[in-house]
Amino acid sequence: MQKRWSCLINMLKIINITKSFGQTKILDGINFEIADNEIVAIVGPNGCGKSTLLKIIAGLETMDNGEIKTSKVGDEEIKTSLIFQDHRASLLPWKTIRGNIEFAIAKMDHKLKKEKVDQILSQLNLAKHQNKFPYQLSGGMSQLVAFGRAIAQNPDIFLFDEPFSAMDYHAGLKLQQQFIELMVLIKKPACIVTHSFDEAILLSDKIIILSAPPTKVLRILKNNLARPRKIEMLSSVQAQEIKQLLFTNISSFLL
Amino acid sequence: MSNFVKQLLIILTLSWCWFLFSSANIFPALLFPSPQEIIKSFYIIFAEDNISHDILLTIVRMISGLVMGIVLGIVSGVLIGFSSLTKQITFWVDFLRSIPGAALFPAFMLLFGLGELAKIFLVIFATVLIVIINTTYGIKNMNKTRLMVAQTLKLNKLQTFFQIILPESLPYISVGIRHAISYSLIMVVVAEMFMGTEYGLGKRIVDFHLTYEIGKMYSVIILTGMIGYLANQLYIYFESKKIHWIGK
Repeated sequence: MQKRWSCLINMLKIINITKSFGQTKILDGINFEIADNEIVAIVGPNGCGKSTLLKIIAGLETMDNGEIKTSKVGDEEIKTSLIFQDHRASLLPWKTIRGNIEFAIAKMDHKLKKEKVDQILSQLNLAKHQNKFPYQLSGGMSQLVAFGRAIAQNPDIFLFDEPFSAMDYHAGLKLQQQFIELMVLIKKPACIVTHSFDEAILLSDKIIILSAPPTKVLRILKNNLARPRKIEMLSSVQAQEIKQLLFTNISSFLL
Repeated sequence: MSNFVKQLLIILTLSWCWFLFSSANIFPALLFPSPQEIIKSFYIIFAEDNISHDILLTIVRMISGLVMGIVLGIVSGVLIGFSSLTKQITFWVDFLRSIPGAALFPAFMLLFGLGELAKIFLVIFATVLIVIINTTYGIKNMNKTRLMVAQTLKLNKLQTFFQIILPESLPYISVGIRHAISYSLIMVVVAEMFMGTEYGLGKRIVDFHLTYEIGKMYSVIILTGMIGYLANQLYIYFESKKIHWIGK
């Protein structure tokens, strides 16, 4: 459970991705790898194309050049689930919590679907809220529902676009703790785009630092913060050292 | 004090003021009847003048025009919202919307005669445009994130429309419908007043006015107001049940 980063198989290989919007070059040859079971955090200055990169991986955005290779056999496309920053917009307010999760697997056989949704609801501790509507839940809880919907999709990789920034600080911390525990259970790779160094340190196995546009990968940091992770570990010496590194790498873009 | 008691007190106070005002004889009693006179007229129009028939006819005209206006409005609103000419078409819808329906009476009478057809078409005209505007707005202001959700869930175009875009637009469409309900009653009553008809609340208001049965005239006016209020409340109730995510 604690050695998830030791896997050597590369699940996903991002090779030389470029992307321009009009005349502006945003992504200028991005390369990195995501190993099986590995959680990768992407940090970088505002407007560096972090979210665009995530959307390209999710297939919501085209790339100008480059390649995404997977370890999957044959021509089968990699299955991704994207969790958006704006949980209010990503959930469907006309469906209940249960309905929202079910929606991801609408085509599944009725009985199987019920079992799966029940399992996810209890895993996320949402069973008692299943008949509520998204607008009746707190921000943290709605994001958890969005996470549940992603789990139902059974993706090869989870993609998170600033998942903790549309809620207050404490709700964000609580959700991060839940996130840590869930990812250990789920055993799937994930890629998290974030503004917050704390989130990157707490959640990831590897941190990818992007430059300002035209964006390149500045540095890839191995995050060796011990597991199992706890929020308190953010104040540990180890975490502070990583944070120090992040700041030295990125400060030139912040000023 | 309960809400009901407060409301009752307000009604009693207003009636009392009305009573005082009418007994002060500022206007002749014939032109400004007392509250007790109106209550009496209310009874008489139901007992002797068979007003329920007029109520029924007005409501039937209103609902048939309204339903067609709403259906037509939603369908065309969706088509306009998805077309590449949204801006240009919306200009014309807005222009047409600026023409008061009553100004079209002569034209509609020439085209569709004096019967039911002209009246129902007028109601359709008065309701369809506001529903179009709101539907188009709902489609155009579709939440981008939710469209991406549809994409990540691999929905096809038809599924995306019926399961994401349409429910997302319903709160906007509903605003149009609420306006359409008020417009439809206005249009029916005015049409009944000025286009030939034998029955209908509008016709009754004009008739009682001409025969100087002013108490009855006010009773029908109040009755018309009640129908409008009730229609609106009914719709709001339906809306809060069926489109519960409005404003959320």
